[in-house]
Amino acid sequence: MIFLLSLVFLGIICLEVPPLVKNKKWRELIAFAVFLWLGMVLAVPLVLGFDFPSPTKAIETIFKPLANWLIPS
Amino acid sequence: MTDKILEGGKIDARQTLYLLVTMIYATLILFIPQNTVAHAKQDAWLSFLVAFTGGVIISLVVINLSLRFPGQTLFEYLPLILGRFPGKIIGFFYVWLFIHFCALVDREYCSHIVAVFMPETPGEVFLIHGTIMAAYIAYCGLEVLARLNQLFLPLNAGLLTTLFVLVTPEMKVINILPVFDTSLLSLAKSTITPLSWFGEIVALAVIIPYLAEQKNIYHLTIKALFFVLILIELATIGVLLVFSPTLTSSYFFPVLSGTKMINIANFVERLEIIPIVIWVTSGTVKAALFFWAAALGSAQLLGLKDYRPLLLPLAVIVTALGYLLHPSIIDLLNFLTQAFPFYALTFEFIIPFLLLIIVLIKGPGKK
Repeated sequence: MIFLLSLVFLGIICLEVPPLVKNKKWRELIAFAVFLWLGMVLAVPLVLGFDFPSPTKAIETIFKPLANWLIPS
Repeated sequence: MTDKILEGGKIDARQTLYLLVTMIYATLILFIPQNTVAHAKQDAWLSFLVAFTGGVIISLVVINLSLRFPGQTLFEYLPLILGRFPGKIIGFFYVWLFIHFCALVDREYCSHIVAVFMPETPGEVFLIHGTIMAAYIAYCGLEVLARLNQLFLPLNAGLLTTLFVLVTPEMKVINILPVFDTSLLSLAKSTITPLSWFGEIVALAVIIPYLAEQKNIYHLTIKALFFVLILIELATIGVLLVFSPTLTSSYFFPVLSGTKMINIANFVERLEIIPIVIWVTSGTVKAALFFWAAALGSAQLLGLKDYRPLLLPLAVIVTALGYLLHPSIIDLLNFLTQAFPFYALTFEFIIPFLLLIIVLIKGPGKK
């Protein structure tokens, strides 16, 4: 699985980076790299089977008092 | 801010109308919110009416705010209102919101197909291909998205009406009686979830600068919300009349279950494919719209000349999030009907409302 994921990331890099470098769009390149890095941070632990905390839990904790009001009795 | 053109497309009034309708009704039609029916019982149709009124108020705030900054999207005028740094931070919260919406739509789409039709297939398959479709449509730009939707929406609205007509033999009026038997508190509770889904109209703040003519925008938006109301009332009243409210609130996908009841002369039956057609087409458009908004927003916040290079990395993030956000469909539904309304309404109503107040006090102007 991790091999397939690396292939996907390699494919994305091969597809997007050469035009960016050719047109000297350095800002876009940096933004692309940061977003891809974020994607890796999310995707790699998932594929390796680590327990990554879900952002849903954070949202649920913040809005818990209000949300409990909506639970049907 | 940036005077470069990020998105060159322009969409006309009809396309905008259709786009807004699809943006809202797609989710509502899939899950008629369980807790709406659980709280309001047979008066659930009434809570959609109230939610519609709330949606109109939200859209008025968003449009009024946007029209004060002609030609600029939400992400461009946020720094003008709040100052450069805080504006960009709130802007990134909105990017997160759109990514989250997109991931949720994709997740709903994949959960739906896995739960109902293909239980043996891993959900990731649908998640990945849904995201790739959305990314490709977003790559083509807003104009293509709007035209695609122009093709799908009349079809879907027609199919939904057809389903309603076909299921009439199964309807029992007793199921919706007594009318107006809900307390005000349960009505308020039942309204919040559909209201937060109507509130997705906040994406209008990103679309408005790309309208060909902006004169009739108030008129257009209210018309769009009204069409959504009609579609959703067709589905809700149909489902409530076929099943009783108790049964409706226990189904994951009431519209689908309602379709299964269709049986005319033992010949016209098993029409479950129709809700799938409706959901897959409208869900894809909806996901692509939020995807486009997220990519355009991050490009504008970072001052890039092109948003397209960001699409594939965003696709990875959306796919991973779609998988990560919820362990099961039960968790997804609980989130959508309990915590999500308050979370979404913060961004959909409270922040735009505060921004509007700040603009009214300070007056729009770049310093």
